[in-house]
Amino acid sequence: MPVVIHGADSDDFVRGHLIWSALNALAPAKAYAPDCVDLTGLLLARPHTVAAIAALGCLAHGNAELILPTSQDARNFVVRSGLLDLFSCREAPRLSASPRIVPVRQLAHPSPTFADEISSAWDLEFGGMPAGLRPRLAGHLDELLLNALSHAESSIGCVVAAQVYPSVPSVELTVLDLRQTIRGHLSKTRQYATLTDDAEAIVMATEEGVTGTPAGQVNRLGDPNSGVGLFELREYCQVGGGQLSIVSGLARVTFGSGHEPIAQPFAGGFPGCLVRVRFQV
Amino acid sequence: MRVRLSGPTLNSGATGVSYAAQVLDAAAHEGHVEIDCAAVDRVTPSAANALVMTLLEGMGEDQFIARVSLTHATEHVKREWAKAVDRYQRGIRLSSQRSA
Repeated sequence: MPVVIHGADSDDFVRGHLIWSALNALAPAKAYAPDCVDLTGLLLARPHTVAAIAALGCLAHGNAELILPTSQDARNFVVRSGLLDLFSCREAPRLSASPRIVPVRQLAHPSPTFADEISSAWDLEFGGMPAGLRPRLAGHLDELLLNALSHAESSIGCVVAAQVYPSVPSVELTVLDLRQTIRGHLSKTRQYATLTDDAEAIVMATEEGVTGTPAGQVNRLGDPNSGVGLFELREYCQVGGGQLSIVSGLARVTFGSGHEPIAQPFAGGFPGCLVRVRFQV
Repeated sequence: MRVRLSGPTLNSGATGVSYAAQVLDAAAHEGHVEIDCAAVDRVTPSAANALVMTLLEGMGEDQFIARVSLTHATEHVKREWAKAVDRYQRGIRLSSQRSA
């Protein structure tokens, strides 16, 4: 079954259409892995969409054919993203090996080095990353990866993608996992068993001390959880550090400075969890 | 007695618990235990919680304050350490410390 992804991502995550079409493609792909992902009409993709495209490749175990965009800019972007590692591509042997600007990875285990790759990408393209941002970004990223790998029980592990934007300036980061929603995870514990709303579950997961790991137990990686990873990230964004968006099940919720969480329905639903963060620099 | 943390990243709860066990073992034989953070650039809140909360649960708050100290810690590590202590004092516990 081919999947066609075309168009451009908006600067605004919620208003972008490309990401939603990519996420909608993931639900059926869990049952029937795509044999082809057609990016002919792709113009511009941000890390959240790159992560969703990468997940399609992961679900097909690298066997799906990737058809590159017609637009030269988009084509360069895809080549430099590392997406080709997750697909087969007939044109790949003829493409030059360009340095990556958007690290995208499928991870089965926590990566202590991915944050450093983002820093390196920044250093390579734009000079030194501002002091203080690196450990902060790395810490939040570590928490997100551990969350995704321990809670999601996803068959593909998780996909992480990032890009640096010097003109804003900011760093965008997305961690995506499949298999279960946040509500599905939380509701396995007695305390949250009555949760019926995905938006409520997302907001609850960002509150301090809330964890889906049952009392008296550790998670599947052997770690005790205390429910602070997403809370810390939400708090950081709400005091002006950036914007956090979480998509899971039938909801998407955005957290940022100067406003309460904004919850919106996501038609079609997403059978996993996507966490997207824009860190202001 | 000194317990050295490996670096540059301390990011998993299990690692935090493992170091806490070393500190508790050392504290059983020595009056004071230094946790040497020279090799650690960054620590996640989850790892800090796992280390600090396991120590607080095992030693009690008074003994923890009197007998455990950090050395060579960056401001970032010190901040995460202090936040973990604060969380414990506000009643937040590791999943493994919560009653079923």
